[in-house]
Amino acid sequence: MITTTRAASLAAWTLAALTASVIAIASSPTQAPAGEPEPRPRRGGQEIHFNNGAEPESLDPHKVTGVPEHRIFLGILEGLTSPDPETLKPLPGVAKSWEVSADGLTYTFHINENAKWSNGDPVTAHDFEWSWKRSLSPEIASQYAYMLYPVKGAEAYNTAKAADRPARRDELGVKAIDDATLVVTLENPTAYFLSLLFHYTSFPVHRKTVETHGDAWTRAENFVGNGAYKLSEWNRRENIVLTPNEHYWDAKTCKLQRIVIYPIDNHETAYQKFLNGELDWISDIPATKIDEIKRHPDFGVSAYLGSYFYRINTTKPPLDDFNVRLALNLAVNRKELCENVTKAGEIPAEGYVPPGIPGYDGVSVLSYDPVRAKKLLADAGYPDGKGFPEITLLYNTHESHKKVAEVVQQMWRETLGIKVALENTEWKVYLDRTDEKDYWIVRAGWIGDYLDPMTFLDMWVKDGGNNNTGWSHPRYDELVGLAMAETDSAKRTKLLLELETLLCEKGLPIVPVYYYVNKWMISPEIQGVHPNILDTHPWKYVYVEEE
Amino acid sequence: MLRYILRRLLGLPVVLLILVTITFFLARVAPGGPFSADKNVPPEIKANIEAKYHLDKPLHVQYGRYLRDVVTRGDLGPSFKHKDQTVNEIIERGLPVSFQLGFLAAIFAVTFGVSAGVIASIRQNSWFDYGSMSVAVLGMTIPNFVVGPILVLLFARYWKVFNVAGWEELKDMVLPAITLGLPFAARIARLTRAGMLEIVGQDFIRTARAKGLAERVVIVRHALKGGLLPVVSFLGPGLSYMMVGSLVVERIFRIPGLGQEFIESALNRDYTLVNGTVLVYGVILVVMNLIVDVVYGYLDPRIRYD
Repeated sequence: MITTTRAASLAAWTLAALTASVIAIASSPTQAPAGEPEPRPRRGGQEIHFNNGAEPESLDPHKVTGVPEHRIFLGILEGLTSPDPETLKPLPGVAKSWEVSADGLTYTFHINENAKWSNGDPVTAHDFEWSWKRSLSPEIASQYAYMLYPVKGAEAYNTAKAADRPARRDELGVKAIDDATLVVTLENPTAYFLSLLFHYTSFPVHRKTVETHGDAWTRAENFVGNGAYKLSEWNRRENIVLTPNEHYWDAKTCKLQRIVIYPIDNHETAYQKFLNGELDWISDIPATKIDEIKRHPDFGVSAYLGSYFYRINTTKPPLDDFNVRLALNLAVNRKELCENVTKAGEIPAEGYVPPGIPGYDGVSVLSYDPVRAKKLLADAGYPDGKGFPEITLLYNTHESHKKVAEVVQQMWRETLGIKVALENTEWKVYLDRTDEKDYWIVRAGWIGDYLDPMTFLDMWVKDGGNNNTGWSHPRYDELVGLAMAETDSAKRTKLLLELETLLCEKGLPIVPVYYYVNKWMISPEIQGVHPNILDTHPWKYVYVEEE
Repeated sequence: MLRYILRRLLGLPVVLLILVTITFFLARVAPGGPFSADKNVPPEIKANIEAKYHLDKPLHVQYGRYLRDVVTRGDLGPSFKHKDQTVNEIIERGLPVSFQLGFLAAIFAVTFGVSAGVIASIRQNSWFDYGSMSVAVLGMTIPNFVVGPILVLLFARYWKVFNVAGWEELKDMVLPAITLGLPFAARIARLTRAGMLEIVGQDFIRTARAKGLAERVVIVRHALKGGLLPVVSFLGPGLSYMMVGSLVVERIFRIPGLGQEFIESALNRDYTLVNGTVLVYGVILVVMNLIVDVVYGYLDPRIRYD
């Protein structure tokens, strides 16, 4: 009987404790931290715990497409150039210097003789020639191969039929003259070519390792990279650990001794872990807690190279009418939406290309104008929305997309008097329906691949793989061709502006909503992380400020 | 008994074949594919990708090929999403973690459930009885995606006893095991109490008491075996659910088990991984049920399998 009594009292205690603590929580002041946030414990030492937001699909730079992979490559691999952490200007990477021919078509790169793989082998021009041919090979079938299409013969090889492949491969415009010299020939003078070289599609891979281990070469026990850090551990779905690569040519710059990268996709969990001091840096935050997080001193926000918009199916009447599309655009009060719905500092999008690309100002023409919007709709034959069919706004299931859609729906109803139904589907279904133009209006987002307006503008050419709206304009297609071939940067900028103006003033297969921002939380002692529009932070510059 | 087990085991391949076939075709019927993404690639590249994974072949050829690889070599194919891993490797890594979590949850559920149930039945209508049974009802009805975060808030954020999430230290297993085990502990407590109450009213217990045996001996040696019968029949589905059904708990606590792979493979249309995880879950469910049937026959003298 003694044991049962003890057990009973233990259980009673547990119950009492649980009740007490639930009451304590309910009445605790954490919901509205009036003053200082609770202090986070400090880790100490050159060690950093970072949340990357997702498990990498692979660590083969020629097989992946995602941002999480990119963040890891920023430690373990390096291209011919390397981005300046503040300005993103191409700095020497594996190439210590380069020359560009007068016509802008031939680049000669001189490889740094101190560049080494993490096993001590030298990095040579031949490594790059082999790697680029691999990246573009139809057998690898990289979804990002188009990043290298400015290279002469790249598209031809990448899309070649089996029989033509060996010939196309030999014709590719990349050639190692000797171990230290790489010559690259381009299709068109490509203004942003040097900044493409710090994209992972152009990163080198260690030939012997790839040939020995096949698909398994990316595992931690096999991986050979040429970055400032090496891949020490890859605990799937737990974390990735990077430690310094003592063979790296610029090893003296690197201060961090240990980088632990987590794949936590639940922003709430990551946020709690950050508050608890288990993480030092999180790359995103839970959107639902934005009001609370905005007051936290460790929160930061900066412009990002991304556009949030709606695609309009221009093949479906009445959306085939430009005036209707313009009315839909002018009836959206983007400023109010950013201030009261998204709330993290998103920038109202009155054009399509996000601000912040050096040397390009962009257009800003779609400001809120309810009176004109009403008139346009009336002119199109639907005064106060009368006779306008009920259309649907489709989005992939997500709380934040729902909030934006509800507000836009309301704005259209109140200003234009039209009824728009909301519909949400799971991600893959949403992709399928966008692709098949099985929608009226559909949510979309576009993140730039490289630092140039072209990454936003060339998608709208007739039947472009990412157009998906049915819209086209002969002059637009012509301008894209002209801008691709233009060597003079001032003339080129003019052409790009003309493109964006045409898209936003005469085309409008879209309703731009806002430009994305980066949102993060970072411990104040972490230095060397500079906000930039690509959210690119090479690990070699990051360090912990000692007390 | 042996014949019965053999017969059941012989049925296993048939069940699994049906399961694999249905899963294979259902996954393919779902809209979207493993390689659809928000940035479209040129059609030639898409064709190359599909050729690489044999998705360009007719469906029945793909099915035949898949079945052949599974049956002859136990090869569940490459994952479409995790490009440097095979499905076999993912399962080999994830399953032990899920098992570990399920096992701990089961221990927690049985220990807590049985003790609470026994005590409640001994002290029927006492405050402990009412209290623990009310908590049990709560435990069964509150879903674990509510219990988990509450435990995190209490034990990780306020008292800082445990980490918020992760699977790195031993103590990281405590909160997930409790979260996963709680509804089962509650069910077990109620079943134990009911079973015990039924048994202690029976003649042989009165006889035992009349012999002058200590109450502890009466309960542990005589009543418990019969009183736990309903618990055992519940443990079959219960255990297999704890082993494989930790999907939500794995997500809340960031545990690298098979449950996460299962959910994500469906969302990613990672066909081979969907098939592989469903197959593994199928085997576990069938085997667990068989084990329970066998144990039941041993505990209850009224049941005979022939």
